[in-house]
Amino acid sequence: MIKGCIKEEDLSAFTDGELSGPKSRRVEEHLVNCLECREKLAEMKASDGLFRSFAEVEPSADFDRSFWKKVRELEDTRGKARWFRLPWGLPRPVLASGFAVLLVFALVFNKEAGQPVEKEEVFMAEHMELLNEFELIQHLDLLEDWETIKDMKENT
Amino acid sequence: MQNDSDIQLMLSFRDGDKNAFRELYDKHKKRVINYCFRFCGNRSVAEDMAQETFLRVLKAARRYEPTARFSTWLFKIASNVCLNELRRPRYRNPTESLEEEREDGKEGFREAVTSDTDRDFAFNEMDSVVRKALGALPDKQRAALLLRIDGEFSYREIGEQIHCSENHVKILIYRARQQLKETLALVKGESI
Repeated sequence: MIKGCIKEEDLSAFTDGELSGPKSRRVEEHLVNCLECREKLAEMKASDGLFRSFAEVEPSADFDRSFWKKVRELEDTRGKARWFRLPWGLPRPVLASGFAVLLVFALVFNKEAGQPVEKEEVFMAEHMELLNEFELIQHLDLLEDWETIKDMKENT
Repeated sequence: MQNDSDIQLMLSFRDGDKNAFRELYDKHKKRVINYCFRFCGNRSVAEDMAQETFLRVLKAARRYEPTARFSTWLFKIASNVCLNELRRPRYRNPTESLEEEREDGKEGFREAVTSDTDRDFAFNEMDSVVRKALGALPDKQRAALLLRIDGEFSYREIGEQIHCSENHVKILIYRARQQLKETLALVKGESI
């Protein structure tokens, strides 16, 4: 190794053509005079070559069939999901739940709205006879008006 | 980048042309299978990974925007699938040696290297040695090296694909090469 040898990670990047122009030129110049770096570079290129010659596999006979089956399953799932969604993006179950909640509220409030008159209605129903004689009862208090009674007595 | 014919196909698919997706699938499936195969060392797992990659492409089509080469995007998805898959417990057995067999019979990279693939295909001895050496690399180093040597992606593209900086990619690839060299020497020595 001579002084100022290239860092191995730079040599690796040089192999990949990833060094900047000036840095790459420095490496090239260094390689001319450094046998050790040249050997390292040759080793890297050889193992890359080995790697590139690695045998390729062909897709298995069943690969396409099983893939398109998965695609169909995905589309089916998406189709169901689409049915669940209304055009403005609201899921149907959410909408149905909303209606159910509204219905429950309507029933509860309707029931509560009828309750305050219930006692009066019962009272009125129980005293219907008195109401029939309302005119008579209305004038009963006159009899309790002592001034009037006194006047009546004096007149008589 | 807009001239990339694959991008045009993907945009057509995004706009509803199903044949465009079929064309992309036919064009890239072998490359993706081989990437996954080199990544995991098991053909059936690799095919599952490749199918998952294309299914993700299909799912992501509506949101697709051409911000990089189509192949960069495709192999980013494939790398995510591979890295996630190998994080699952069934593939995790870091203390195991290259030659050991697992008692539970489940196959990880190392077993697959010596069983499934050799059983199914007549790979030559050197392929077997390279597969062993690849299997010994940490997942991210293996991904970076494969994307560089096999996919011929730039460091910047690889950084996008495996979510790290360009400089980190440089280190990953350098370390992968170093370890590959050592493992190759070791495995060659063992096989002699």
